[in-house]
Amino acid sequence: MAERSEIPVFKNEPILVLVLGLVTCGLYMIYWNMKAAEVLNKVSGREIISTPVAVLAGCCVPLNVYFYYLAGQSLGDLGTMIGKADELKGKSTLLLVLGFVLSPVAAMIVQGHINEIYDQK
Amino acid sequence: MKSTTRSDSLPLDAGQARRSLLMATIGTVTIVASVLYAPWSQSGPVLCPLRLLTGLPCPGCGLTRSFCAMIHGDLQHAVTFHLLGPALFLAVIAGIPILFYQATTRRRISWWDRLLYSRRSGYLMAFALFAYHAVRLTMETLNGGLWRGMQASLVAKAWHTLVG
Repeated sequence: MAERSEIPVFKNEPILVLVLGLVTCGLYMIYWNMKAAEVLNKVSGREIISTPVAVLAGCCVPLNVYFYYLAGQSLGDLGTMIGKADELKGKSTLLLVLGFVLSPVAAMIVQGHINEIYDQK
Repeated sequence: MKSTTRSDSLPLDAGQARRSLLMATIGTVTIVASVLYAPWSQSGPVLCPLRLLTGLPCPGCGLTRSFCAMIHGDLQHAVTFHLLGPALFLAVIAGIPILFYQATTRRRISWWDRLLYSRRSGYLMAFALFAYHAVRLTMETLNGGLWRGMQASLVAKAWHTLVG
């Protein structure tokens, strides 16, 4: 697992993820997936989510579910980093379901937890 | 990022093998779903959550129909539905046996692994999707298709029901 200072900064208001996703007709979600994958990979210290998968997940429901399955795996490491290991591990199933039916909400949840990395710096 | 560097010579660990198997399964399910959904691909319900709610197309809108057309070897329609659909379809078809092979033998196919985990190919893909979607949105705005789509969306219908 990486040091906090090594994590690339990707801080956003979770509601902004939803708004920008709608305003840009989904284009922002591709960018968001790429940046979130970059942060989560760095947190885990291994390449769990590849960039091509992150890009395609932004426009393809089956891959989006896979993306949130991988994000759920990284959340455990993120939880350890921010001191909420048990809480975040329990959210992986929720992310998987939301990734299928309401992916912007899943993105908002992940963004909220990513923000906590920088809030506690 | 020293720990994310992938070695071509090392076999896949349990996690990587599981992820390869999962991706191969998702690819297989996508192809089987395209075969099954093909008769309804043009008359069936809207599957994209963004389009269903707002009427706005997402960058992947048309991929399902494009895959269904490719199943029948109809390249012309596949390109019409989504310009990148045929290339993605071929990538999925090629990727399924490779991913199954990697998952079952735990032997890494280095060129595939480099392609799948390459940042450059990811950025190239993102650029292609951004450019294609921007052109498609501009064309739909100019021919009025975007406005018609928004009027038929769930949000617009709910608005008309509530406001009258």
